[in-house]
Amino acid sequence: MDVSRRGFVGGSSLVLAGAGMVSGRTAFAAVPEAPTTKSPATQAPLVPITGPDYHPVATLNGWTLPWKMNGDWKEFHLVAEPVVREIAPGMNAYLWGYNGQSPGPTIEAVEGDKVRIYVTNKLPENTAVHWHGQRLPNGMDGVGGLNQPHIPPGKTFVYEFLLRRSGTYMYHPHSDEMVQMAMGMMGFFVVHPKDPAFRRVDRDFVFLLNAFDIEPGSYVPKVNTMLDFNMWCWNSRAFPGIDPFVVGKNDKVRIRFGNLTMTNHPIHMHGYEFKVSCTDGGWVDPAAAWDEVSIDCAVGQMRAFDFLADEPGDWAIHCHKSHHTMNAMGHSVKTYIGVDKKDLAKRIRKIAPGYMPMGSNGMGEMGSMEMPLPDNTLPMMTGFAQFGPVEMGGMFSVVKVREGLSKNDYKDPGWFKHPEGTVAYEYKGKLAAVTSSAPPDAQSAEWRVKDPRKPSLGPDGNPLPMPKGAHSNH
Amino acid sequence: MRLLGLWGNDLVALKLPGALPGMPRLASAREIEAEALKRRVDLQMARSDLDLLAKSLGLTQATRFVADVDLLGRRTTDRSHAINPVTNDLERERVKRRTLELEIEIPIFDFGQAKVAQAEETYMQAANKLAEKAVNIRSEAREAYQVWRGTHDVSRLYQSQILPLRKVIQDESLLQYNGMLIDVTQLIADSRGRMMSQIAAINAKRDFFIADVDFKHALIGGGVSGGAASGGAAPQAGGGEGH
Repeated sequence: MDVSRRGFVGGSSLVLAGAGMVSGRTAFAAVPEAPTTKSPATQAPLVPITGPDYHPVATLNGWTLPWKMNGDWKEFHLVAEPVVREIAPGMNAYLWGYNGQSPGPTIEAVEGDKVRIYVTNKLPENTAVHWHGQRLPNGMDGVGGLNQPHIPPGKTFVYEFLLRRSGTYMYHPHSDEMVQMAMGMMGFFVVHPKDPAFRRVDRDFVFLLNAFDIEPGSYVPKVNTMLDFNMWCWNSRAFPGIDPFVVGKNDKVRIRFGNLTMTNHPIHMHGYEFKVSCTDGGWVDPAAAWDEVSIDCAVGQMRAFDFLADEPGDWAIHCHKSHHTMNAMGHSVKTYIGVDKKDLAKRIRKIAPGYMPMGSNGMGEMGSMEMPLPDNTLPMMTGFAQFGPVEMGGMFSVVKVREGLSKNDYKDPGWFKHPEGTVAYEYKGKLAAVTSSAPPDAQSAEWRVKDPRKPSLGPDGNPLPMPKGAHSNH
Repeated sequence: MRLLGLWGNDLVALKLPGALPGMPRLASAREIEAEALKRRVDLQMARSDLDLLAKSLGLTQATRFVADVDLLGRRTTDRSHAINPVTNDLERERVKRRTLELEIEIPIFDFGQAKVAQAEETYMQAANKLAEKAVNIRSEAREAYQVWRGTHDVSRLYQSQILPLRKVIQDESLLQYNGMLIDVTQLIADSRGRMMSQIAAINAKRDFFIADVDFKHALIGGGVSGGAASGGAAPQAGGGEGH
């Protein structure tokens, strides 16, 4: 596992300060170390070696936080701190996160576990952690000021609670919440059922939907943007930086996600119908679930859906808002479809060498052009696969269903090898002369509001006499 | 051509360069004043007049000399620096000069048993006028220098800061256009802004060379040239876009 251990030699005074705040309640020997990672790659699921058994989740472009047993307490250590996150190769964002990355590591535990979570604040301002969806004592709910004092910079606080319900949860700040979430502070929290066989699946993927507004050429998100974001991310990654969901044929698969953006996302997966099995409110009774191919996830909601991966292939999975499968784009770019820019281009090139006319025939050409862009900026539409440019960005990835994968193999298997004769192909035979319909002109009969074949009615309700010669030529 | 008195083959031989020459090196203000005192023709004439007057009054024995100002042996340093916007390097420019002898000496004669009181008064009047002229010449030299230096600095700012920045803006604009982040109209507007700056830079250079001629005139005492510089007020179109 690509995790380095961060000792607390240098920060021991800091830990003692934090420990002092809970001394008397717990007699622990030491605060667990806070592992950290620099890699944005999907790390292998963390199989439990202590405590109750469960099937671990795979965090998309992320990892699970290792823990330590202390008596009957499962201890975790989160460090809130500034991080550099690679959004996709070619673009880094300066974010705030936990333990070296944004989002933070996934916390996994089991229903009935007692968890003790140390939170060290290495941010320049107060923070607090809210455990979204959990049943817990009110004082552990993490709303700064309301349920607890804010955690000042340099201090460590301790959260202790019993995991009463299994399910799909998340954590995020509740102290300067808007800014800290706009900076990428969030993480997944999975509580596995006590019975490992309960609704068990073979592959369990988790990720959070998050959005940033990073001006092309810059690194820090604009924290006061409310709606007009330009980076639509899954786990602070955008296509083509999002890892594929690697699945073995006939695996039972669960995909769980939570929405911490400012808008809803209809998540659509190709190739299968699936059923919602869990929300952040709990498990969905199988009798109450119905088949879907898109599931809308509103702001602050979480959804998990299950399917049986019996159709091999490279199946797209994406947010169905088409501008959310785009990277940074300019909303002020005008529409030039149907505009002939040939002559104009010559003249513009005289004053702006390097200018290329774009947009006259749609924007698809941008996916293949790969023109020089501002520093640290992803192309609006990009990515290449075996048949050419994919012309996507943002919230887009691929579910790769393959035969013969071993149980713990999450490595990208490459592009799908289509069986002979199962790919759309060009028709090479002769076509009968195609008569395309002439473009409608405003004068033609079919664009009139009234049927010209019927006489107009006069004020008395009787038909008016047809004007002489009118429309007779149509 | 007429002003240059050219005709026939000379006319063909005359070729104007495609661009204005580079900027000359800077001189310090003190150096300029000394230069003016040394070279001003009118001052030399006044000096000769005074000598002539002394001779005509029969004064021969100079007892002492008065200097208008004593500025011997002073060092001056002009420093300026700028950040190069392309390389981000700090560019330093330093002009260091030892002041030339900047002194005009006026002999004062022993009027002794003044033959005629009027002679003394006449001489002293002429001597004071000469001193006044020297002071005025220094003032004129300083004034011409200020204009010269001002237009020089404006022109230099265009070359070293504004034009490179304009290029950066246009280059970034093109990159943003490539990424479909801005519309082509914005790219055209930025290109136009750059051209306006180039026009303003050329005008600033023109102003400088006119000021340069005026300045040289001030040093030798020829009054000012006909084509007065527009004082750095280069045409600014489009609400300050010229910058």
